[in-house]
Amino acid sequence: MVPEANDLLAAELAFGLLDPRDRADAERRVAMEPALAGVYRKWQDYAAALAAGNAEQPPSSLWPSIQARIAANDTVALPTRAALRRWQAGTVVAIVAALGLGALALQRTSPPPASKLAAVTRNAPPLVAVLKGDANRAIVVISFDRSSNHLSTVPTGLRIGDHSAELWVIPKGGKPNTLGLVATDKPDWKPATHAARTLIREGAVLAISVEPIGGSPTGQPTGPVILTGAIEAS
Amino acid sequence: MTWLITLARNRAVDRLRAAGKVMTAPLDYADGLADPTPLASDTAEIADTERRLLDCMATLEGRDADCIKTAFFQGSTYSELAARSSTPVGTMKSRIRRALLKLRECLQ
Repeated sequence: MVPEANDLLAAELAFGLLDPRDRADAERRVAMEPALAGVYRKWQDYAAALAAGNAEQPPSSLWPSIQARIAANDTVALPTRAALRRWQAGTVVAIVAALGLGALALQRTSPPPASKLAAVTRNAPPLVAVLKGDANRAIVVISFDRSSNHLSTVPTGLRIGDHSAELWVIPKGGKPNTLGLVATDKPDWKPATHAARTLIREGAVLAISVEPIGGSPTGQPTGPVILTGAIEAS
Repeated sequence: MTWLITLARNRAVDRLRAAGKVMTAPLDYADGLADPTPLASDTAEIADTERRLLDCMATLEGRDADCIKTAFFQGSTYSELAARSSTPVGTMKSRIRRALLKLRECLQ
């Protein structure tokens, strides 16, 4: 292609004269032909100079068309008095609704009254029993968390050989009720049984007896009671 | 500066086209009424390239220079320029190409 034709194509592309298909072709060629790309850059400079040099006066039809659009906006968008009132009334309603919702939200998130709080905290402290009395000076600490209904047992130095350790709760003036077996070599934390929830009270006594593997077959202690402790509020 | 102007111009034109807004109003030829030479105060400030371009644009026939400016500023392509001035596309193309070659000669 002769240089003149390159110049012409570059100028057409730079001034935006080419129709879409021709423009796409020209852009492809600019991307692939360094010589054309160089010429194109030069014409881009000229085209940009057209803008920078402020050579263009806006067409005389521009201002009338802007005016026409402004006028159209005015007649269409200007609300009537009645419409304005409706909007104003709507705004007042919206503000009142927002304030009401805000107050409601504040009430709902505010802390519960002091009396309710006290009731909750009264229930909260766990009950604890420290079970002692063993010849080996073993200790088992048992706590009952009333808010989560979990029973934890922490044995220390509990050695009963080839037997199971069974935990009992003895209400004041009552008979022992089983609370299940207790791990002798590690702490445990498990959901409290129904018996535990109803019978573990301040003043009741917890006891551990030595039973055959698997626990007492009779439902009452069959072996020696080695550890006891009164239940106290922590 | 050039790349910024080119980018802004092309993006603006592309957006208008994508929105289906193509200038169709009849071409608004200055017809020599407006003085194509910029004001003296402007001339002092614009760089060499720009002054040379404006000088050379001024050597073109008024209608041809206007068509080139319309293409650049209003995004009108050959076929749109032809439609807007009720001229056959071929006639419009050869007229503008002659003008571009004259512009090139002047700028060299």
